[in-house]
Amino acid sequence: MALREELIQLLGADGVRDGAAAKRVYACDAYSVERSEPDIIVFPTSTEEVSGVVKLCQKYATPFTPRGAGTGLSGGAMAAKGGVLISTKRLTSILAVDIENRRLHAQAGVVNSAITRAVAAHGLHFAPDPSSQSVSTLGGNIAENSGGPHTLKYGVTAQHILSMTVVLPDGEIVNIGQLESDCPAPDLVTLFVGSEGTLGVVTEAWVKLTPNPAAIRTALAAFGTVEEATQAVSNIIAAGILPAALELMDRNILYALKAGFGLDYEPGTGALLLLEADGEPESTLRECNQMESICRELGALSFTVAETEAERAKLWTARKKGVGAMGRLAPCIVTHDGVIPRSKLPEMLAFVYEVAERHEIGVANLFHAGDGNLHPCFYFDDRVPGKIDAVVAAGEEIIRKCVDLGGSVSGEHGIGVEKSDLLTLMYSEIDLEMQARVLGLSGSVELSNPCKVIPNQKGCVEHKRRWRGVAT
Amino acid sequence: MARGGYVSPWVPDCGSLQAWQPGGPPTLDLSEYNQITFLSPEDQVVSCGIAMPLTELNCELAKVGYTVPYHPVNASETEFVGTFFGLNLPHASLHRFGSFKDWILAVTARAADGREFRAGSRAVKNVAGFDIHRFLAGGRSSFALPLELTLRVFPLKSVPVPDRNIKHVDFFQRVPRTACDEAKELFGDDFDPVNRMVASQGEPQKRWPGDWVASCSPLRAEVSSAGELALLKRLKASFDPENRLPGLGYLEVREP
Repeated sequence: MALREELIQLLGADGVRDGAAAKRVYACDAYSVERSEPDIIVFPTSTEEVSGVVKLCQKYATPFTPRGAGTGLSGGAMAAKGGVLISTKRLTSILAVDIENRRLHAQAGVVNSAITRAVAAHGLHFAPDPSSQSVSTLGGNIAENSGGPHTLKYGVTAQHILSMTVVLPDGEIVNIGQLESDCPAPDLVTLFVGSEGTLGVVTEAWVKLTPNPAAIRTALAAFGTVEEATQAVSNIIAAGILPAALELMDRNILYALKAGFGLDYEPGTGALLLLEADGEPESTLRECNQMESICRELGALSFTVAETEAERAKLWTARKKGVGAMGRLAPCIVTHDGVIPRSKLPEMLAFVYEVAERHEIGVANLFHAGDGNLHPCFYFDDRVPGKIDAVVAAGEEIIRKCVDLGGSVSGEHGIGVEKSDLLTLMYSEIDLEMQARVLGLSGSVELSNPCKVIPNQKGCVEHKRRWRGVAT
Repeated sequence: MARGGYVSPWVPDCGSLQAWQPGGPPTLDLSEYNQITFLSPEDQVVSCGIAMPLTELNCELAKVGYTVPYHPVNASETEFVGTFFGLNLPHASLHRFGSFKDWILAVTARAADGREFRAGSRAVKNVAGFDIHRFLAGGRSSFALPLELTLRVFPLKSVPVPDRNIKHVDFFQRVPRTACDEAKELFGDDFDPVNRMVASQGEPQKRWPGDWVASCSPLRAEVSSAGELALLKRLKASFDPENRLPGLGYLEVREP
């Protein structure tokens, strides 16, 4: 019996797809510059079924790639060598809710925001809040170690995962981690979170639930220049304030917001800084007042504080709708992700504008300024010959600069296929050899989401030619 | 432990952090790794050698308004940052600032074969590659010997120093929220309700579902399953195929 037939026997005909349309749909995630079609897409409903699928992949020496909602921005869920794509879209059960101990047990396909909805009545939430949180899944967040605007205070996904169930590349099911955090032992959860499916398929996890703050104060400061706004960010942190969010948007995002939604801001605004403090009412008010003083000392054109939930939502509009609004500027958008030390933000932004101009691509910036996590968004028309190549080249220049300034090639989007080659900018040959040794913990890893994270894996160069061929 | 006499691998005793176990593998003098090598207060980042006492590091950081918010209850802060990193034990400000592991941005380490490597970066947010630097926290040098740490530091103004008495501790026990009242009754002042942590002498008097225990003499830390321990052993074999570094004998599987 062939692989396809055995998969149907395991999952039923409804759990297996291999038609041309399905293959095309699953050829890429939200990093659509590169594509590679899987041969078969499967939809298991339990850890045991995932284990069965993985064992069959081993039997037939077929690569497998796990995928959540496909919102990843670095190609982590692309089936680089074809094979079986394991969708978690039917692993959607919340298995247990332990309100008293502030933890929840869910399958990997549960949507991020559904976790918060499940516990909202108890004044709790799941803290990681990537922009995709209304659709992205717990498993995807774990695979990419997703962040979001509030990671400045609450940390990335890794800090909110207590334990997990993993199907290893040989099909074995293993539980790792503890129900209570901070155990002083080597922490395998740390390695599996962000491993992009290279160490196996995460099928379930216990997550930490965070109490909703008693008070939230959100403000929007308008500055004449990006430099003033970034200086405000540095001064706020130096003052000992740990805001819940510090998000910066540049002039081109404002153009997009005006074009897309008719939003208009103070005349002369060159940058907007969204600030949020949370905690006890007294400290929140104090921190917000301190931040206002800092912004005004630096010449803020305005500082608007939300007094109601509706006003707060309105202030967040610029940040939440910024990328969507860019659809008014061009038919294609590629969002990059790099990190730099916060003090280098002015220098880095100047470089981003210079690179975009040189490559004749539009660029706008909206990003997590508090932790130096830059997101240059290139907007362009992919029907224009050579534009995709220009976008890839410009992106690589920017990432190189991030590393030169002491930063990282990725702050929250992961490595995927987009940046596996760029990892060599950060790490020496021996550093990368040690990274590759992590793969040793899962045994036979050659078939487990190949060509991701670690550069120059066997057989990946040939496949890379194929992806780029499709893209162009 | 004499200043400058830092040896690694160390075997920790939570009461007095010992540098060495008799009959163990050969020691390596790392006392030269005792300075700050990079400091950028505006970016909240410092790099220092592992043989720098935490008090000295914090003294230097205080000059620019920053600190490492680690407040141990079982050892003096004159111990080395590498020791605190290698053990990653709970501390009095855990609930507010997290564990030592949470502040690690990068590590320079010596692999079992003697070569130096680096993991992580100076960026305060970074998902490039596997988080080996955080994995090594609490690893007691079993996978690699840390030489230099890059840490996220915090503004002094935001770090209250908690009241605490440094004492001999035989074991730490993390208690679920639902068991806090019972733990308070059982352990009295040895139970810290803010961190939900028992730090006491003798043996744990009771186990609760989901808790963990790290005992100090002899050193023991728990993993959740035999499968997890098997994975750690595979990883150990991958990083240290000739068993040159300390073993994983301190790990045991949590009884169901």
